[in-house]
Amino acid sequence: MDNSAAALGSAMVPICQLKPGQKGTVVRLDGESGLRQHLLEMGFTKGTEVEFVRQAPLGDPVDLRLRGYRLSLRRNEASVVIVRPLPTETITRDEGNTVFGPSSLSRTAHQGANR
Amino acid sequence: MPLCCNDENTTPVALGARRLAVVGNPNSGKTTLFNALTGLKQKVGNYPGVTVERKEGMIRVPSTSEPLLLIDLPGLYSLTPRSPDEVIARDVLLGRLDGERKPDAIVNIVDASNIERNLYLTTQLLELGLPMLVVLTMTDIAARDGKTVDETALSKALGVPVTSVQVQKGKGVVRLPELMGALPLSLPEGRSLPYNLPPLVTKECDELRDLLRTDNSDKSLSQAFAEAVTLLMVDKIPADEARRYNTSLLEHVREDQETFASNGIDFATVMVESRYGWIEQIRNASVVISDEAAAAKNGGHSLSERVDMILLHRFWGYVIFFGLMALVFQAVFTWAQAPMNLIGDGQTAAATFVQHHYPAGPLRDLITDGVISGVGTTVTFLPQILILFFFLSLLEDTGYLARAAFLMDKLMSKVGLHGKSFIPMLSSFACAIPGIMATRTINDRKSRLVTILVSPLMSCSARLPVYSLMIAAFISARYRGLTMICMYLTGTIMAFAIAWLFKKTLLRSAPPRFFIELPPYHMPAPQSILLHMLDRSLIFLRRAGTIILTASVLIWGMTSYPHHAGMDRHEQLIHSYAGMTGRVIEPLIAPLGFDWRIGISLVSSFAAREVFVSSMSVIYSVGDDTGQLAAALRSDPKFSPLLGVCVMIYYVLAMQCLSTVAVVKRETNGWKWPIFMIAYMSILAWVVTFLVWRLGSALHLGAHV
Repeated sequence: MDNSAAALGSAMVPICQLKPGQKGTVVRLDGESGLRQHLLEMGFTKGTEVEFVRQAPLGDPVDLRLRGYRLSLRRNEASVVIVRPLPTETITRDEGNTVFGPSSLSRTAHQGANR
Repeated sequence: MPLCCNDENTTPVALGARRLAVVGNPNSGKTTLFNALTGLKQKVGNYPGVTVERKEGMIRVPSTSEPLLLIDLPGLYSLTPRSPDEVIARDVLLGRLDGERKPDAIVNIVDASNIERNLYLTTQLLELGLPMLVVLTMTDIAARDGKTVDETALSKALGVPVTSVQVQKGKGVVRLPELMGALPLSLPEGRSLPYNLPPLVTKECDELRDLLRTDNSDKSLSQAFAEAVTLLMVDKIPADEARRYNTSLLEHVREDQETFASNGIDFATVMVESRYGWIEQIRNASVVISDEAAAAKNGGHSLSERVDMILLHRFWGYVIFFGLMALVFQAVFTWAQAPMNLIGDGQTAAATFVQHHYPAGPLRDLITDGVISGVGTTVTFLPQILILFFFLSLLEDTGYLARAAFLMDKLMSKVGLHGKSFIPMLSSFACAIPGIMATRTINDRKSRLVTILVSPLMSCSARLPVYSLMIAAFISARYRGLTMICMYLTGTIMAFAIAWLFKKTLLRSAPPRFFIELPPYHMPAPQSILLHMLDRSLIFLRRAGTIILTASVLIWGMTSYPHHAGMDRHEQLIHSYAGMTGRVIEPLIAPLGFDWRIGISLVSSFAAREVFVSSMSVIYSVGDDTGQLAAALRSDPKFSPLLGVCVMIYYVLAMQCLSTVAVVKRETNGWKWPIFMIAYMSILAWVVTFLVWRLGSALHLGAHV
């Protein structure tokens, strides 16, 4: 990891401050215990990778992806999920790290469209 | 020992049969599978005292012909409940719901395309120590994403049998009863948890478990352990739940929580992280991901996500959403018209038949004008209910309904409602009855109640005849469309304003959490959609039908009695109980500009708004032709355009529909809310109409517009 990525990695932000398509790993959950527990049970445990997929066209709610499924939350609910952003160009997976260049990304999307 | 079953549906054979609870996450395909297994043999009812639906169905094991009773529990994410449905599901599983025997085994439906989150519930179910069969669904969607679940490996990891089905293709469903029948009657006691907990947590949970068992020795070790965990999970045990336990036990729970806190242990975090830790091991052992899938996952472009780029697009998303809503609305509004007319014709034919075959007299009139018209009124709603629930099931089963809530939530949250309230309210423009029945998807009780209470303010199709009559009589051609739109707008604005008011005052609650899963898009099973349409209709006929029928007979009685020989319809109505009531209430409605004639029509149209028109025809002694009646009203010096507008405004806001009252009674499980609804809507209608009348009179807006 280069310096800028390391700097990015150290900042902890609420999940809804990520850019669409950006991912982060869960550091902690703030908020009242009922909400925290609800989020935990839906899979937001420490270290889980969560993608900020998009926000709704009117800005709220937000669409997140974690553990292979998509969940939408209102911003004020999602804001208690504190994540460490992953550098956008590096996509880590549980099975290991793979780095894609922009060309291989577009190739993947193309293949997907043909399937 | 046969436990009591105060369930009307339980047949003697069901008492002896093993009871299998069908449990799974929402969107796991659980209901579709249940429908495929039980088909038309299922019975739908309510759990006592709550509006949570109870579904069961008897099946037989082919080889032994052993009967098995399948109970379809409401979908749930975990045993920590967050909605009334989840409370019921948890209590049934813990064997502590009054009048409901503990299940003998569990059939756990697991969505293979979303296996980690689905297995979370599975870990909790395993903790219950009941025999269990895991059924994987959505394996085709998992395959689409390039994932395959190794059933043997999963079965080994979980320690229970695992099978898979593809309900839409009919794959694997047939062999399920056999697998269910092969489940053991019970599991050996004292199995250890598959994951490690900190020693202190284990110690306290075990202690609480033993305490629970001394109070009730029927509980198995595992079950008591699971119950101990659910008690420790929540900060504050809800009052109605705490009533089950004695104070020393509750004290123990509180002490445990303090012990955890002083040792820096967050119990919920420990439990959930341990379970998910184990799930990740299971996933690594049993989910095979091909390279292609890995690429697709990294690209982040699974099929559903690509579809969502359009369906959740800031422009096209709304174009498509409103297009779809227009289609649904149009369908309920107009497609239902032809079958509704047929039902009307059938009703007339039946009445004519009776008139020809039975001697004239009160009994014949009761049958034709009371019973046949009551049955007719009830059946008339069926086309709308069927059409709306066809679309709703289709939208829900494909996964679009969640997207609709996602798109509309911001707007609905302005008045404190949930994205899911939009569709019931929109449907109510056609008819509040299917709309109110569609509020079941709203988890938060208070939000659902508010949606139910304001839905009848949306102008339904039964108000159209009233609007049409008044507009034809008093509004000049160029303003007719505008007037009609104003009526619809008045109702809509009022609905949102009242919703906001109720959410701020009477039904104040924290905004419900949104937490909506956006499931992958998939093809719905036609059989499941048909069954859903059918059971909504049957519920309506059975529960609301009786009330509507009774009310129709009552209104018929009021308009026909006391009977005066030799009077024509006009005279008879004026001198009937309804006529008397119309005059008695005249002082009450006089401030609105209404006289006794409108009073009579208000009384007789209390069961159904459109009756206003026929009642006015009788009073003005004109035929059934609306044109004649409009002319008669126009030439009546007591009537004015302003009064016409007041009548319309009154009908926009007043609760003049007993069928709605009947449905609200059924959906809220009591008379409290329907009575409240009549009260608030009557007051609202009176006040607003009064203001319009006084203001209009003061400004001399009496002349023809």
